[in-house]
Order: sequence, then C-alpha cells, then structure tokens
Amino acid sequence: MEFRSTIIKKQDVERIHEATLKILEDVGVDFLYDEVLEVFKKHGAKVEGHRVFISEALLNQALKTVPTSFVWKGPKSEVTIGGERTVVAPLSGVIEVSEKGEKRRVNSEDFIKLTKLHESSKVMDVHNPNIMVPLDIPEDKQRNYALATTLKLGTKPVIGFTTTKKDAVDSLYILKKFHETEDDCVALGIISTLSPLAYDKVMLESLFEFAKEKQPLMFATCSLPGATSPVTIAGTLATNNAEQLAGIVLSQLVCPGLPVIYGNTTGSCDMRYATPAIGAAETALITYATAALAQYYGVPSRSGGSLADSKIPDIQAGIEGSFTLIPPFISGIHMVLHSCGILDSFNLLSYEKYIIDEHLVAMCKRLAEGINVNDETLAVDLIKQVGPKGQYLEEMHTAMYYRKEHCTSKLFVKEGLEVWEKKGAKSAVDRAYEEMQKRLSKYKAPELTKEQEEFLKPYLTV
Amino acid sequence: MSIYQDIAENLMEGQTAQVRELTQKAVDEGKPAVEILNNALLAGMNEVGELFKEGEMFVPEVLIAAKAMNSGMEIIKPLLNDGDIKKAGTVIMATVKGDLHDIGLNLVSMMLEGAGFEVINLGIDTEPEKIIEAIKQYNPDIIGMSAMLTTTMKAMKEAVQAIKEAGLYDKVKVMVGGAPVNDEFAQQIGAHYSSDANEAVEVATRLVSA
Ligand code: B12
Repeated sequence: MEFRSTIIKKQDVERIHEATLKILEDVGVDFLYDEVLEVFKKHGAKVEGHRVFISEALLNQALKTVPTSFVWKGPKSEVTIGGERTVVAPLSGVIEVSEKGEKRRVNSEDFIKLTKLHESSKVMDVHNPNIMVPLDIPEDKQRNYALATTLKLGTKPVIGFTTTKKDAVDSLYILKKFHETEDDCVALGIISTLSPLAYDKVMLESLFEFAKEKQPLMFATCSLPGATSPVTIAGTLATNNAEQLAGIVLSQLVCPGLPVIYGNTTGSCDMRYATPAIGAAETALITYATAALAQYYGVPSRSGGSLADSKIPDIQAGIEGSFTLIPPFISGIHMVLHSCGILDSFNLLSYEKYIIDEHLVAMCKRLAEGINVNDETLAVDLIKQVGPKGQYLEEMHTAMYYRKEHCTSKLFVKEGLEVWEKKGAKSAVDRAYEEMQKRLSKYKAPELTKEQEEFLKPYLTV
Repeated sequence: MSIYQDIAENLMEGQTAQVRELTQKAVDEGKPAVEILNNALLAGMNEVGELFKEGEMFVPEVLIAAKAMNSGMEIIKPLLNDGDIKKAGTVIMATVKGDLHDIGLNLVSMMLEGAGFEVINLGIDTEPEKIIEAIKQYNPDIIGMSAMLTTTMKAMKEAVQAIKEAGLYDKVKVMVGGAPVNDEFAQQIGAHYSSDANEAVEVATRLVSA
C-alpha cells in the first residue's frame, strides 16, 4: 500500500533507521530465554549473557526472507495482511465493560455479546479470543473456552494466544484442527516487547510454538514515552524500531519466510500520573512513522485504532478516537488492532463507543479512498443539462452516486433540531445502544459441521 | 531571599548541583542542620508534593526534585541527630508472580520514599517465597503488591495466603494496587487498596500510624 502522508519525511525515516542500527549493534536487546541465545549464536551474532547484538548484515539477511504479504484464513472468510486494504481487528484485554453509563467486570456473557457484535459487524474483519478474560469460567479453562466460543459464534479469521506456552500450544492445536489444515495461516500470535529493549520468556516460548507451526506473528511495542522509552518521539521510535527489528530477525532465523507484522501501539504518557495517554496527537504521529518504517523494511504494518483515555463515550472520547483512527487509514497501515470500543487507556470497553467507532471506521475508509475523478463523477454533461438555477435532487445521477460518494450513518444526528426533539432527542450514544440491541437480536450463529461441534464441545463444557 | 528559600526553590527546579552547593554554604555559615532540613529541604519537597497533587508538576519533575533533595541530605545527614529525621516506616514492594508490569510499582515506591518511607523494591515476577524472605529480613511495616493482569490477581491472593501460613500476617499490613484490582477484591484477600500513588501514600501513612 502506498504511503500517502508527508508528515514523516524520507530522511527522517533514514535517520531513525541509522539510530536503530546503532542501538542494535552497540546497546543490544535482552532475550530472557536461553533457546533464543543459541539461535543467535548459531548465526554469528554477539551474545553477552542474555544480551544480543545484531549487526546490519544479520538484519538485512533476515529482512530479505520476510513476506510482504500473506493470507490469513478463517472458517468462512479470509484476509490479506500487507495488501491494499487495512484489515480491521478487535480490541484486546479489557478489564471492564460499560453500557448505559453502568460499568461491570467482564464475564462470559460479555465475551459472547462482543463476539456476536464482531461477527455481525460490517467493518470488523477478524476475531480475537483475547478481547476479555471470561472471569466466571474456571481459571484453567478460560482461554480454551474463549477460543472455542469464538469459533462457535464466528466465521472470520481468529487471533491465537501467547499468554503462556500452554495457551499458545492449545490455541494452535484448536485452530489448526478446527480448520482442518496443516499449511494455511489460521492463527496470529501477538508477541509483546518488554520495553525498553527486551523480550520476556513467556512471549519467546510462544514465538517458538507459532514458528514451529508456521503461523504468523505480530510484534507489538507499547512503550510509555518518558517511562519505558525516551520522552522524545524520535527517541521512542528508535527504541521501538530496534525492538521490532530484533524480534523480526529472530523470527526469520528460527523460521525463514515466516509471515510477520511490524506492530506499534505506543502513544503518549501523561506525566501528571505517568499513565498511558493513548488518545493523543503523538499516537497519531507514531502511527504515521510505523507505516513509513514498516514500508521501508518491506514488512506489513499494524497500529492501534480508535484509542481513548476518556472514561465515558463523550466528546473527549470522540476527539481521541478520531485523532487515532484516521492516521492508520490514510497512511496505509495494514492492520488495526483495538479498532473499536476502547476507553480508559485500554482498560474499558464501551458498547456504545464500539458501535460509534464502526461508523468512524467507515468514515476513515471513505477519507482514505480519496476523490474519485472521472468523466462520470465530474458530470459535465449533467451540469450542462441542469444548468444554472436548476437542481439535482431528481436526477438519476444523484440516486446512482449518492451511496458511493457519501458515507452516512443512522447513528449521527443530522436531522433538523425540532425533528430531532420530536423523535425523542436521542444522542448518537443513545442510538448506538439501540442499534446494538437490534444487531444482537438479529444475530444468527454460523452452521458448524457435526465434527466441528463435537470438537468444540469439551472446551465449551465448563 | 533567605538561603533556605533559595535552597527550596532550587530543589523544586531539580537543580542538584545548586542544592548541594547552597546546603554546604548554609552549613558553612553555621546554620543548624535540623533547620536546613525542615525549613529548606522538607519545605521545598512539601511544596513539590502539593504542586504534584494539583497537577501543576509532573512525575519526572518530582523525581528530579527528590534527587536534588537527596544531594542536600547527603551533606547534612552526618550533622543530624537520631531523632531529627522521622522515618515514616518500612515498605516492601513487589509485582506479583507472572506479572511484568512495574511502572505503577516504581511510581508508588518513589512516592512513598518521597513521603519518608524506606522502600525495598523487589521488582517484577516475585514469588511468594521471596516476599516471605524479605519480610523476615527487613521486618517491614507494610507489604505493597501490584498486579496488572486479571490472571495475576490470584497470585496476589496466594501471596497473602503464604504470608498468613508463615505466621507473618499479624506483623505486617498488606497494601495492593493495579488496574484490575479494586477495593472489594482487596478486602476479600485481607489487604488495603489504593487507586493511585497519592492515595497509596495516604493509606500507608494511615496504616503505620494506626
Ligand atoms: C505499559 C503496559 C505494558 C508494558 C509494561 C511495561 C512495564 N515495564 O511495566 C508491556 C508492554 C511490557 C506490557 C505487557 C503485557 N501487558 Co500490559 N499494559 C500496559 C498498560 C498500557 C499501562 C500500564 C501502566 O504502566 N500504567 C501506568 C501506571 C503508572 O499505572 P498503574 O500501573 O495502573 O499503577 C497505578 C495504580 O494502579 C496504583 N498501583 C499499581 N500498583 C500498585 C501497588 C500498590 C501496593 C499500590 C498501593 C498501588 C498500586 O498506583 C499506580 C500509580 O498511580 C496497561 C493498560 C492500562 N491502561 O493500565 C496494559 C495492560 C495492563 N496489559 C495487558 C496485557 C494483556 C499485557 C500482556 C499479557 C500482553 C500485551 N498486551 O502486551 C503483557 C503481559 C506481560 C506480563 N506477563 O505481565 C492488559 C491486561 C488485560 C487483562 N484483562 O488482564 C492491559 C489492561 C492492556 C490491554 N487491554 O490489553 N504491558
């Protein structure tokens, strides 16, 4: 996908790259898992304790084998990561949910509800069993229950687990078996970095499990500038980039040609509290840079979506979400995680905001599509025909092109004030709630084969 | 401006070298150490604390101010008597087993230190045995534990259990915090909850004076 923004200049990308090379060669990255050290040693990298130093030559060798795109299959649909479309993916790991101003802890009921919304969504392309931990399910069964429930309710490609080695092994087994495949990509493993400049053991164990099964990986940095990376955006990008590249190099040494994604969801940090400030202009800048850097290395890219720190779906949430969801679409990011519904710096899902964010995705797609200029859209013939002082409402051209050219939604209030008042004076948030109820009442579970049902049953019986 | 004011103002700006120099100057001029402590260093730090609470000062600014204060403390410490510095208490801090988040843990530790507590920070991924060991070694007033994952909250519960089994629960107060932790959970496991670093200082102060 072509990088369309001029916010990050080519020479800035090159300078960030040069700084990154210095970090990789002179500072090193800690890999807190002995098996990894052996891999690096075997390929001639300098290793001191758990610290690995990566040379430019080794980096370039590894980057050569990274696929520029790959197909990720789900039960009934598939997506291409690295193609022309920005793939839209769910949020991850929320601790609480809110609707109608009430907040509660997550459980299996909410897991099912959000998964149904993802399945019935026109903009959501994939599923994620990490959306929340179903806390009412016995602890040793939570992960597999979540994954099996996702497969029972959904038809789109599914993210796997990397939370423990066992979670990774189980999710790979379940996803491959359910899809009855050996070679296709049917699971995506998210490998978080331990900023600054480290990877922890659990994530690396999971990396090996995914590589063993030839399943794609996404590297995910989420540093807090000033706390776990330099406070300056350039410095943050340099350390984030070094973490990304170190992980990508490892993946290619373990399994040359393994599909990987360059993922960054670093935002700002509010130093009044040292807490993440994800709904920020800096998040937008980092997203632009992520697209540019990933493109520079020829690796598919990933960013965050409509990110907000606000605690309720209010004007702050709307501004924060717009600021952070527009950049991935106009910069050509290949995958957007945490696309819809996030509040409270990743901790809270608002159902109403989820529905509103779906519309925001549609608006962003429309924005990124740009202006379609051709004879038909310029419509000089029509302009001639209607002439000065005429009108276009009754024209066939209007009826034909309205839906194609204009992105509308029933959610947003556009009617006249009095009309709106007479209809109950409902805000976009009120309407979003109603829209959600309608969607849920119409949801139909996909048809599974007898074998698939039998296969999922033990995981669902808790 | 008095030299005390001068020290306090430099402290608030995090001017480590100036605070050191001015403190030395005050000592050389024959000012009593305890007066330098209370009227300059602690006065400056208290002001910093107030401004932080009001959102006027930022975390890194508070931390460099604390560093500046320490540079002055080093000079007057040998001149102070035993009772001059009031140690608020001793706290052992740890992120529980399986959890690697430590930004909140470190922030709470630093704020407690700023409020006069002695803090022993055991860091991330801490086994209950290590906490027990540390309690035996340091005899603290408070154990502070952090958990940021829904899945590691249970490690918090297990750690409290281990403290009870080791017969140490009556000797210490347990404080907990972290994004998924709340008051209800804290009460369930027999601990005291705080939602942020400021509240943590208030709760800790209350617990040691109780
Ligand atoms: C930064 C971060 C990371 C960094 C951690 C870096 C580090 N050195 O700490 C990295 C990238 C490594 C990371 C990794 C992971 N993370 Co993380 N992380 C966060 C994030 C964005 C911010 C946490 C933070 O530092 N906040 C800033 C500090 C200042 O605030 P705080 O920690 O809340 O602390 C304050 C209070 O809670 C309280 N407090 C805290 N501890 C204590 C202790 C005591 C005694 C007291 C009194 C008070 C107290 O006072 C503090 C100061 O005011 C949160 C989301 C969020 N908004 O909280 C997710 C989050 C906690 N992570 C999450 C997850 C899932 C993970 C990973 C599993 C995978 C992933 N998504 O990357 C791994 C897990 C690794 C592991 N085994 O622990 C989830 C948890 C989901 C869940 N339901 O459990 C969250 C909610 C994000 C999400 N939605 O996915 N993470």
